[in-house]
Amino acid sequence: MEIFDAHTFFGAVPEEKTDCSLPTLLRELERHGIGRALTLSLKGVRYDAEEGNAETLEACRAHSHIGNPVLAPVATIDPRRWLGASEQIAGWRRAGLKAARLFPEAQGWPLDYLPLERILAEIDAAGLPVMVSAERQGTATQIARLAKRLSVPIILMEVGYWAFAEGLAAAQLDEKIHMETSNFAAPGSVELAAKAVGAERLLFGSGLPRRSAASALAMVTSSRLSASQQELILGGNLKRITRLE
Amino acid sequence: MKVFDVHAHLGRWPFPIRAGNSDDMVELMDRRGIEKCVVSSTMAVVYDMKEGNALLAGALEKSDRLLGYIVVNPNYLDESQAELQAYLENPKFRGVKIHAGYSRKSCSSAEMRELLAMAARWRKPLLIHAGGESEVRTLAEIARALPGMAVILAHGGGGGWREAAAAAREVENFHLEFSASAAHRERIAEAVKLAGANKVLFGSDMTLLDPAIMFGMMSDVGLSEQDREKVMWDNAVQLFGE
Repeated sequence: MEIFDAHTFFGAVPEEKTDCSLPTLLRELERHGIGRALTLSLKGVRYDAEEGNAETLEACRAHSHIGNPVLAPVATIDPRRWLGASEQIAGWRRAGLKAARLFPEAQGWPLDYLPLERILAEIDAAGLPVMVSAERQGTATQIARLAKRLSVPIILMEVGYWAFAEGLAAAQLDEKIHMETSNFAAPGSVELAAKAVGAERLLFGSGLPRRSAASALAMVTSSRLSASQQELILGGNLKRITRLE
Repeated sequence: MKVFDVHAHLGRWPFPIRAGNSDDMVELMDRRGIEKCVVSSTMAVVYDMKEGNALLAGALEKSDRLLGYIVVNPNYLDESQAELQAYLENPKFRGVKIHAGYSRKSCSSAEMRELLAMAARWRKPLLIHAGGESEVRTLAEIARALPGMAVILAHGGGGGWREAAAAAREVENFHLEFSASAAHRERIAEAVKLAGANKVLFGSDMTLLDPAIMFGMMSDVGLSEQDREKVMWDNAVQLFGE
């Protein structure tokens, strides 16, 4: 079974001295037997989406060979610079990008936000899954409301114990909504989520290279779920959603 | 390798977590391979110190693998003194717990300084939740002035973990544990490098967090077998006894 990681990144982290470089990401993926990972450059989150997306594509082109960790590119866009984004988004799938990821919490824009509505409509038209950081309470609720207008899969990223009930409620409301597991830290959380929304709606994420992949993997592999459920979470579901086989 | 967990809680959480009583905790310890742990009452931390400590005293009688922290609160100094007197002769209670966040008192406040001095008279280990660079520096200074009490900084001081590791190198009775819902890959290794393996203890923050998170972080660290044993067991036994 190939492990497919929904949550990795690479780049600079100004607020803390830490090594989140691309070589470190690749080394850690390999060390933990993670064969494939969605990834993006932090430059796109923290500085400029276009430049970041270009860097992401370049890194993924250089690491697209089966046998080593394979990187699959995720696009991002900052709604604060929405004007002129339509053409970019329309070209994402042609360029090989596999999903679109949004960072309302890191970038400080609200979810009740007209530029976001336009961007989501454009991503939906492009047919790409939408990944949204949903660490804070209230985010998953608003995403669930926005999801009614969309047809693509939506992935709530980094949902921790403090927003866990809300994430599950959102996923129960709309079957397009999935949850990524990197912040599942409470005892029994993987089992509870699988029971509440089904293992087919959960996607393994490590948070590499900043986080410990061993911790994230242990939460799934040491759970009481069946081997087939674990396989879905560790890669099967993400392959289906991103259409990567 | 035996594992001694110095940061655990017994009680309920306002989140979907199904591990509320001592049987749940021991079952989780068995599943994760934890031999012993030192527990504080969730209720005592987040709500009522006295009621929570009393409930914990009862629960500790049910298992010889569970040891206890008495929770004290800088907003209730007289009552905290009474709690220390009521329980610290009980051999099941091996330490004192303070949560600066829930009590909303910084380490530099007069009340916190008085409480820390009061707790130090019992010469038992203290587990304290306080975070950020400034708090860590203040706490390290206080620990230096109270050499008879081992101070364990929960979560490594959060964002102040580098300062905490530097302080642990300098201050003999200042120790760290690194439980976290965000399993940072580098922190434990860096802290061991900075402060030495003698200064880092294994803490999980169960039952809020699954100890699997901490075991994963430890497996990512790449310590020598000897250093790993210190972190997982020996350092805790030195402070708390078996």
